[in-house]
Amino acid sequence: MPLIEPPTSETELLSRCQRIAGLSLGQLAAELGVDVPENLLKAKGWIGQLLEFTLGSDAGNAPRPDFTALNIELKTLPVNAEGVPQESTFVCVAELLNTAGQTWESSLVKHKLSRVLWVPVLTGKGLPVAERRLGQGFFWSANVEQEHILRTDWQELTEMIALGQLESITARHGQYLQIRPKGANKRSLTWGIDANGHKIKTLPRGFYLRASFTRQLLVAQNTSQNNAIA
Amino acid sequence: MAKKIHLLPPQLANQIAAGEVVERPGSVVKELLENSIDANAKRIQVDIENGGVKLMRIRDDGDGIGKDDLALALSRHATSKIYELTDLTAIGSLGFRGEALASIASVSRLNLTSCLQGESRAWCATLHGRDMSVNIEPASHPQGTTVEVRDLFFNTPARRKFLRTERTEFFHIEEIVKRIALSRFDIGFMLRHNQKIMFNLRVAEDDGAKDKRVASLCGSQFIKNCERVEFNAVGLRLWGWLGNPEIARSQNDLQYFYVNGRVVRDKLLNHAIRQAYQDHLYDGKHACYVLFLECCPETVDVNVHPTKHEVRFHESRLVHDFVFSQLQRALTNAHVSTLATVEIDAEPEVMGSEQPRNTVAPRTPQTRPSATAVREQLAGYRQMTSPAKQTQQAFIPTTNSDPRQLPLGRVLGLVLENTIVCESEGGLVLVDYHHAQRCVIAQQLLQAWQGEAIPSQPLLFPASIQCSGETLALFNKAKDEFVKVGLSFDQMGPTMLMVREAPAPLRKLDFAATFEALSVSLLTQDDFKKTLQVLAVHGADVAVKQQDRESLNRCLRQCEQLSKEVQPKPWIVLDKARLKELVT
Repeated sequence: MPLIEPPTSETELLSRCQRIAGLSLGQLAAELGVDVPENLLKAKGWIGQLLEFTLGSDAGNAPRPDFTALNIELKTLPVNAEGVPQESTFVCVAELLNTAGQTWESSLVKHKLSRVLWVPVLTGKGLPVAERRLGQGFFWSANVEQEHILRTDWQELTEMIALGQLESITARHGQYLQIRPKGANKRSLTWGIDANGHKIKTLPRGFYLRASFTRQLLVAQNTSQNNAIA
Repeated sequence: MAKKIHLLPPQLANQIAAGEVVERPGSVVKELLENSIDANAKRIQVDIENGGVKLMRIRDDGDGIGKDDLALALSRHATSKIYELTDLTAIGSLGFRGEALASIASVSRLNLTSCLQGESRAWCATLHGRDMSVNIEPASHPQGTTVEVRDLFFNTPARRKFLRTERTEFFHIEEIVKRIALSRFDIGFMLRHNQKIMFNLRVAEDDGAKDKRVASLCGSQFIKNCERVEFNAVGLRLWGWLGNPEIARSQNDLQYFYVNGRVVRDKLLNHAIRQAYQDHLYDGKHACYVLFLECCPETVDVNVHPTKHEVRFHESRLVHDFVFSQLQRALTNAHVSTLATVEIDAEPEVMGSEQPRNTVAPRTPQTRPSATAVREQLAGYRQMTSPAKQTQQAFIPTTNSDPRQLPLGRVLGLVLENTIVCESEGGLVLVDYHHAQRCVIAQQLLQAWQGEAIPSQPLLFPASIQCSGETLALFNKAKDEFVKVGLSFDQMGPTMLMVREAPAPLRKLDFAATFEALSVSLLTQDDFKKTLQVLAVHGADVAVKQQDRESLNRCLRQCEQLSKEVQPKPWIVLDKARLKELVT
């Protein structure tokens, strides 16, 4: 299987997206000659990998943007038949220990979200993996207002981490960003800080974008149909 | 050189005090709610805008403040709650320091409107300038008091910087209103954020109603998994809802403890409760409870801290041991809760869209607000809650005229699957909905094909269509015609088409079925107009699934725009004479 060259421009990347938009994962996998897993429970991230490969991502497992030269992060966005995102989108792991001196400007969240290629994936309930379909990908960067809200969310959540309020962070905090436990199961623990400043074992956390936020992005991208009729 | 000593101007002094009392919008709401409760309110309405930063309005139907007292109410260390030092030793009210209003007023634009019971006239007080002089004007208000706090921290930018996102600030406010609503079952509470009702709680008189309120504030999960407890000892009573250890949470966000109706977060009490739960909870889990401790006001000192979260008991060990031992016994003897059967959904207390009557008519006659209050509230509720109102608005065409004057009139309803019944000045109009949509879409497509622009957008999910090589060739040949009507596709391999763009009326098509029908039409018809008809039929199949009144009305208005060539029309008009003829 020949390795696909990384795209040299956004236009090239977008036209690669256009080529595969509308295909089912089964069709795309057949084109590449790879097997489709039965379910994604044991193959988490398979869709992302398939896309990375097809679109020519050159990051591999390294912690850099999926398209290194263009500094673009690829994110798949599972949506239902109405085009509504079904889950929040993982951004990056939340640093629980070395929070001192972190700023929004230098944060991994800001870095990861500086330029994103969103690829919607039509994912109905119980729809077999092979029948899920790829949508039209689009680029996104936060506008001033979005960045402001993301920044205040990040500052608030990071402050809570630093001050040892880990256990009181619920998914309800944050307008666009939220923090949720991220881990294979309840036994995979990492180090964090509790309210008294002691080191404790706790679940690893990740920053996620709320589904309500990614939904806004989709709506902005595809101006809602009702407006078009009226 | 030594600086001169001088007295601080009142505003500055108040702003300094505000630093302690007014930390964030939530603390304002807390102070004002406590005032309303101390004024014997039976119903309190809290309106919040933009997380409280823009507006917090607390309205009650309590005792009210007389004109002469209004000015004093806004100055520091002025209160009606205590009179002398001995009162301080037995505080029955929530507030008493006489600081709240003055402090809040010094860091926001505050106005205070109030009407005493029995008075015909209400007065509104506002503050001005550095010396905080009070300006009083006549106003209109039912009995009770409304405090409006706008632009919190507008004059203290340093504080403003500490404000979090709107969402977070509202989260705090909601938590505070919840906490207070749990403490006073005899008061109705309503909370709105940006005009949206978050909860609306009626006065809860019996145990069932109390359970319902707890359920709507703490969740049905909690009420299904808790014990209702009550313990009495000399001078002490502890009662409430004790969550079973199984529903312990990883956050301590469902812990409500009240001492004489006052929300507290006290180390001593927390310790007693944690100890009681210790054999039942895993590390890092937090118990859930709503508990009330009642004791003689003389045995507890609440004058510890301005926010009054901590209290001091005269016999602290006795209280600690009482709470600990009673709760521990209850947890050890835990049996299946009899509360599990509470029907929460039967008559929802959290109001979404229904039953304005429940919230308007108070149960007890003496708490009935004045007629104007009811009217005002009714108007508010109708606006907020009634779905009928919204659809009625959809009725009114943008021209502002009576839709009955229009040729197809206004929609009465949809009957027999797809017949719209309408009433116009001319008589009764029957419209075949599917046929009507077909005509409308066909006309739109035809106009587009003849050169008028049609808005078209890329599909979020381009639709792939499997077809034979011959069919593919047919479509490729007609491709430019389809592009004219906003439908664009391209070939993907020898047997696949990908539909990428579609105009508004065709965006939700079943593309596979449609393209199959289209291929037949392309093969058998030379006239592309006939193919457009096929498209319109499929478009109508989708469009008729929209059966809300707004869509029906929109279809009528579009039908009125159909050109004269469209024949037969998709409707018939039965004028009054004809109707009479038919039925007699």
